[in-house]
Amino acid sequence: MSAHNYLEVKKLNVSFPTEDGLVAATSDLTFSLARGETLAIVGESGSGKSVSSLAIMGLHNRARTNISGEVILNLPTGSLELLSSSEDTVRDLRGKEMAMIFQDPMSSLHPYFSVGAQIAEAWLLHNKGNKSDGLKRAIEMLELVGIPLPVERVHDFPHQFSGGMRQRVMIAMALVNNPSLLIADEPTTALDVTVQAQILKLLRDMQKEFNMAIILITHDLGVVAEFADRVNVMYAGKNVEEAPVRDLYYKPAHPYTLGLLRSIPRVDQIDTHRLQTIPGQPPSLINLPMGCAFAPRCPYKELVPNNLCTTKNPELSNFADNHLTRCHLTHDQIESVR
Amino acid sequence: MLKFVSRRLLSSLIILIVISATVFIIFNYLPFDPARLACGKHCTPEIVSGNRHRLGLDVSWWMQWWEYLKGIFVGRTYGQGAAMFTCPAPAFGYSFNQHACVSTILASALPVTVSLAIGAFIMWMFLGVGLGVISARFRNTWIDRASNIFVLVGTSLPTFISGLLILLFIVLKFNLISPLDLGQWHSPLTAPWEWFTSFFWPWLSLALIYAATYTRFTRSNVIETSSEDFIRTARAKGVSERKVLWKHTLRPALAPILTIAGLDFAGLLGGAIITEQIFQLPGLGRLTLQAALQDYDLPIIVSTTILAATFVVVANLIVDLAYAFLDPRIRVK
Amino acid sequence: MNQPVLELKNLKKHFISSNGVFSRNKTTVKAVDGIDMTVNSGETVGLVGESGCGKTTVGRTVLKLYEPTSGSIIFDGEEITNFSPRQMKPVRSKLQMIFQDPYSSLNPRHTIGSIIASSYEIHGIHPEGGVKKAVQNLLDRVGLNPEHINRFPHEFSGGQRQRIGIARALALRPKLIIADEPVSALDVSIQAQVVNLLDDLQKEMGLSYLFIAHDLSVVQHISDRVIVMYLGKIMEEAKTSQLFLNPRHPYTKALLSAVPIPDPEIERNRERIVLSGDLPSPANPPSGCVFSTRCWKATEKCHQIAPPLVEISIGSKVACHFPEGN
Repeated sequence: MSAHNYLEVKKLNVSFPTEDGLVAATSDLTFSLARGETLAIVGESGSGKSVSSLAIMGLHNRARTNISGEVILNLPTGSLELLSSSEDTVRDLRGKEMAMIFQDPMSSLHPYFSVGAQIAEAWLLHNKGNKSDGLKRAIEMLELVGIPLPVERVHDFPHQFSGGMRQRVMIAMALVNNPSLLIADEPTTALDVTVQAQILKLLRDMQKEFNMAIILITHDLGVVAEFADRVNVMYAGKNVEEAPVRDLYYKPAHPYTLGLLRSIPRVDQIDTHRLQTIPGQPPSLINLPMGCAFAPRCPYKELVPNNLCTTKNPELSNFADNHLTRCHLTHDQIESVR
Repeated sequence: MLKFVSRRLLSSLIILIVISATVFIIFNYLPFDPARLACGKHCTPEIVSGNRHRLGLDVSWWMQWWEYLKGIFVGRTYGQGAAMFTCPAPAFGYSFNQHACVSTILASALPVTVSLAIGAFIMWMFLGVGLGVISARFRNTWIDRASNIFVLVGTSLPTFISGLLILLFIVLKFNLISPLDLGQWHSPLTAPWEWFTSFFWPWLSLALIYAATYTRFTRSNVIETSSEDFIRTARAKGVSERKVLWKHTLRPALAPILTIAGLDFAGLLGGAIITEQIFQLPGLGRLTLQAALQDYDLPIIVSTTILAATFVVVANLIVDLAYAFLDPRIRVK
Repeated sequence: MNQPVLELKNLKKHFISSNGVFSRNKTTVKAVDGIDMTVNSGETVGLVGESGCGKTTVGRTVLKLYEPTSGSIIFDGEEITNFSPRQMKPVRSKLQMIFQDPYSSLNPRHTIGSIIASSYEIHGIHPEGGVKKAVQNLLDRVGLNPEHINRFPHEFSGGQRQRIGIARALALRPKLIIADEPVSALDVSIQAQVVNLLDDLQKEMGLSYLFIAHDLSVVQHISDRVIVMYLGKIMEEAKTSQLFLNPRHPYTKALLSAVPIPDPEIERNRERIVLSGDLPSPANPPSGCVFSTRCWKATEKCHQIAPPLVEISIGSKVACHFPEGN
C-alpha cells in the first residue's frame, strides 16, 4: 500500500503552550494518501483538522509549537521527512510540491497586489523567468480556472472579484507550479451553495488534469459525500475513524460518526421527526478527559465493561478492510447499534 | 483617479476658506481691540479711530476677511500719502507692533520651524518605525523588551521635561552649544554644519516622544498584519521570511502610520511651541506665543493660525493621495 | 393556526448611497423590492436565498431596524410600518430577534442573568415570583444550568451562547421570533441541539418563527413553509415538502441541486444543475426576470418582462414564465 503512497503522516502530534496550559491540538494522527486521491478530513471546530494540515505544510512557527511524528513525502527523487528537514528545504517544497487554499479567499489574497502579481510571484519563486513570463503564466492559469477575460482581469485587485472568482484566483495561484498535493481548508465554506458547486467541480477537473492528491478539510458531510474517496473523521485532535467514503456513510464504525450522520437534516428527504443529537459539548483540548475523548458524550459507553471508555484511550484499530476506528466497542457491538 | 484628486483638492480649498473665515469671526468677537493696543500711553479717541482705519478694522469682519484674502494674491496698501506703505503679494497683513509686513516676519520664522520639523520627523520616523519593525520581528526577545522600555520612558516624558533635561544636562553641561549661540539661525544653504549642530538637540528632544509612540504603533501594526490570512498565503507559496516581512507585511502595516505621520508633521510645521521656547528658536511657535501673550499682535496671530491650519489641510490631502496610491481598495472603486 | 401574525404587503427597502459629498452619482440598491408574505400564528416560515438576496434586510426591516421605503408591515393585526421608535417599544416585546453570532450580540461585561433580566427592565415588566426566578426558569428551559446566572458570556461555548440569546428573546413571551441564521455559526452536532430546542419551544409556547438562513437542509427540517428570494424578489413560495420535493422555479431547482446530500451513492448519481456565473449586483439588477441572466430556460420574454408571483397550485406561488414540473 505504501509503495505508491505520495504522502504519509505518522503519529503526528501538534501542541501549543498557552497561559492556561498545553493545548493538544492534534494527537497521534496517522494517514496516507496517493496521487489522484482525495482524502477528506472531517471534524468540528477545534477538532485539529486545520492544525494538522498547517503542520504538514510546515506553516506553524516552530519556536511556538511542539510538533512530533513524521510527515513523509515520497518524491520521485526519494523520500523526505519534512518535520526533521530544514526550514529552507520545506519552504522550497511549499507552493511547488504542496499547495494550499483557504476558507476565506478575500482575506487570503493580499489586498495591495493585483491577482496577476500574486500568481506570478508564486510561479517566479520556483521557476526561472522574468516578470512578464510570470504574468503570462498567470493569464494561462486564470483562463484554466475559468475566469472570464483573463488578459484584462490579470491586473485587477482581489476586491474587484466576487467571492467565487476570488477562490478561483486562489486555486490558480495554488496550482501554478503543478503541485502533487493540494490541501483545501474549508474551500467552499464562505461561499454560496451555487458557487460552492462551481468550485467543487473546478477542483475535481483540476485534480484530473494535474493528478493531484487532495486533502479536503471540511465540516460539511454533504461536500464529503460528493467529493472524497476516503474520509478521516477527527474528534478532539484524534482521528477516530478512517474509511472509504461509502463505508463511512453506510457502515460507520465510531459512535461519533454515527451521531454526526444522524444529526444532519437533508434536502432530499422531508423529515418531521426530531433530529437526533449528540448531547453535550466537545471537550477542552487543554485538559482532555481520561480515556476516550468522546466518552462523556457517547451513548454506548455502558456497553463496554470495566469503565474502559473513561479510563483507557482506545487505539486506532482495524474494523474492516481499509476501515479503521478508535473505539472500545467490539465489531459486533458496533454492528448492533448502527 | 483624476476625479478623486480633483474632488479632494476642491474640498480642501473649501475647508481652507471656511477655516480662514472662522478665524476672522473668532478674533472679531474677542474682547481686545488691536487699535487701542497699538495706541500706546498718550492715547486719544482720534488716534484710536485713526489706527482702526489704518489697520482696516473699521469695517465688518467679512470685509476684513475679504481684504485679507485679496491681499494674499495682489498685495495690500496701508495708510495714505506720505505714511503710505505697501506689503507686496503675498500679503498677510501688517504688524504695527513690529513695524513690518507679516509676510516678512513669517518668512524669517518659517525656515526655523521647517528645519525643526523636517529634522525631527526624519529622526523619529527612522527611530520609531525601525525600532517598531525590529521589535515586532524579534518579538519576546531581549531586543523587544529593550524597545518596550524605550517606549515606556519615551511616552511618559513630555517634551517640556525631555527638552529641558537635554538642554541642561547635555547641551549646556558639555558646552555643545554656547548659551550665547542658542537660538541663532544658520541657513542650511550657507552653513550646513552649523545648521545641523544647532538643530540636532532640539530634533532629538522633539523626536523622542514621537519615536516612542511610533515604535509602539509600528510594532502592534506589524504583529497584527503578520497574523493576517494573506501572510499565511504568502508562506504557503514558499515566500521567504525576509520577503514576507518586507514585501507582504510592511506595506499594509505601515500605511496607517503614514496617515498619522503626515498629520503629526503638519502639526509641527505650525510651530513646536515648547521646543522652540526651550531652545530659544525663533520659529513660528515662539512667534505665535509672543504675539498672543505679550503683544496682542492680531495680524500675526491670524496669519499663523491660518498657516497652521493650511499645513494640516494640505498634509491631509497628501496623506489621502499617498494612501490611495498604496492601497488599491481606495484607488479603484 | 391560520391567524396571521405578520403580513408584509409590497414591502420595499432601497438603500441609496452617494459616492461623496461633492458627487451627484447615487447608487440605489434595491435590497428588498416589493415582497408579499405572511407568517401565521404557530408557524415557521423559512426565508432562504444566497448572500445579497435581501433575506436579512427583510428581517431587519420588519423589526424596524431599517425604515421601510414603501409597502406595509402588519404585525399582530396592527400596521406598524410608520411607527416611531417610541410606538415600537410595546411592539418589540412581542417581536423578538435571534442573531447569527451569539457572541457579538451579548454584552461581554454583563452577566447572562442581567442580560436576560434587562428585557424585563426595559419594558417595565415584573414577572411573577421575581426577575431572578423568571431568569432561572428561562435558563433551565433553554437547557442551561440555572446556577450559572452570574457567569459572563465568554464562559460559555458557541451553542450555549445561542441558548442565552434564545432565552433573552423568550423572556417577554413574544409571538414572533425573527431568527437570522441562528445556527450557521454552530458546529454540526450543536446545530441539531439548537434546532430541536427551537422546535420544542414553538410547540410549548405557540411561537411563530421567521427563520432566515442560507442552509437549505436546516430550513427543510424546521419550516412549515419556505420562501425563496433572489435579488430582492420572491421567486417561489410553497409548503416545505412541496418546495423541496417538487420545486417549480428554476432557481429553486438549481439551488436545491447545488446542496450536497450526505449520501455518496445518491450524491454521485443525481443530476446536477451548476449555474454559471455569479449573482448580479443588486445595484444593477437585470431587466425582466432578475434570474434570467443565469437561467437555462430564459427566453426573450424573460429578459423583458418580470413574471409576477402567482399561485399555480394550492399554497404554491411561483414567479416564473416557464415553471418546472407539473
